[in-house]
Amino acid sequence: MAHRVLRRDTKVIIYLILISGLGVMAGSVCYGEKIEHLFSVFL
Amino acid sequence: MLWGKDRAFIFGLLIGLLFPLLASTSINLYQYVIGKFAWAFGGASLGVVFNAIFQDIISKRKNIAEISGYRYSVGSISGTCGAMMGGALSDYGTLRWPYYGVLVLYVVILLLFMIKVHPYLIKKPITASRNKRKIRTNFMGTIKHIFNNPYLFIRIFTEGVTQSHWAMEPILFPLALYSLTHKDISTGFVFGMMGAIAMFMLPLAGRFVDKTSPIRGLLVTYIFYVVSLFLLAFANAFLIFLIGGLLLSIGKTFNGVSIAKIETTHGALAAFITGTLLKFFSFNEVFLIFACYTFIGFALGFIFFKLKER
Repeated sequence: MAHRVLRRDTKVIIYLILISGLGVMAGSVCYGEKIEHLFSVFL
Repeated sequence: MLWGKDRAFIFGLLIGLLFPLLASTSINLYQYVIGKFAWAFGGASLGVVFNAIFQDIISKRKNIAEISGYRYSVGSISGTCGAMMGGALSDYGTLRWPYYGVLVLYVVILLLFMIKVHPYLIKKPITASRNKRKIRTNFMGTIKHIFNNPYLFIRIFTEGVTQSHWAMEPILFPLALYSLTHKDISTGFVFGMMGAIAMFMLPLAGRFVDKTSPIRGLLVTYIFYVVSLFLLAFANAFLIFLIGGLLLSIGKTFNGVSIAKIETTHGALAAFITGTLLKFFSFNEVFLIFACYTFIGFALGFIFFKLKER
């Protein structure tokens, strides 16, 4: 039983690591482009 | 807490979805500002709220630092992929395309969280976080808790210093590298190498911290930071700069996993300070200032930790 709980924990941890990775990716996708975009729209 | 971290995460990310929609279609500055406001919700969800959920779940594990190492390792690959993807999207399409990329990623994250993580959180109430909540019922209680706990106390010193590095690097590194090599690609190369070494070192550093202690991890960080920053301060050739950068990256991996074990609060004055310093000093001198600051900050942290531990 304890083993099964641990395995379920591991699965969720893997999904959380994946979400964290996608979060970092989302944060860096328009990292360089944001300023360029701003200039193109407002200047 | 009235709301629950999982619901706070979902709610924040749902508002965050407005960011790419509003920012990419901006016709005036007000719309862009509202978009950025929505982005803050998405950022908080993926940052502070996500950290709290993650820490709750891994807190029952013995290999906390190692798991954090894997997380940061995946983060370092994803960050590089994201930046490259952003560049490719704007080259292939328009400058709006990277925002659509963010939108897609936010939706994938939301679905993944709701389908795979949320059911687990509902089924299994987390007890560890309740204990933590009791300690932090009010602001003064939190401050008192930080000052009474030697681990959190050393963190104030070391994290103030290391957070400043995060903001110093993107400003100083390209400047220094361009002046040494006169090529933009050298910055990409050094950052790429630093990312690669961090990716492999993070799980190892995590294992080290789990087997010893976060304080031992911070001591290793300290040695790597000080040596690398002094090396960067006196670098007059590309190779020396590269070695300095790689040693700094190794230091960062040890710091990341050690701090992941101790917990988190942030400071963000460093970008402003770096910019201001660059007005008056050369990049070498600014590195030297950061080297001295790191040297003194960590040393003070360790001294106070020892005094409080007694």
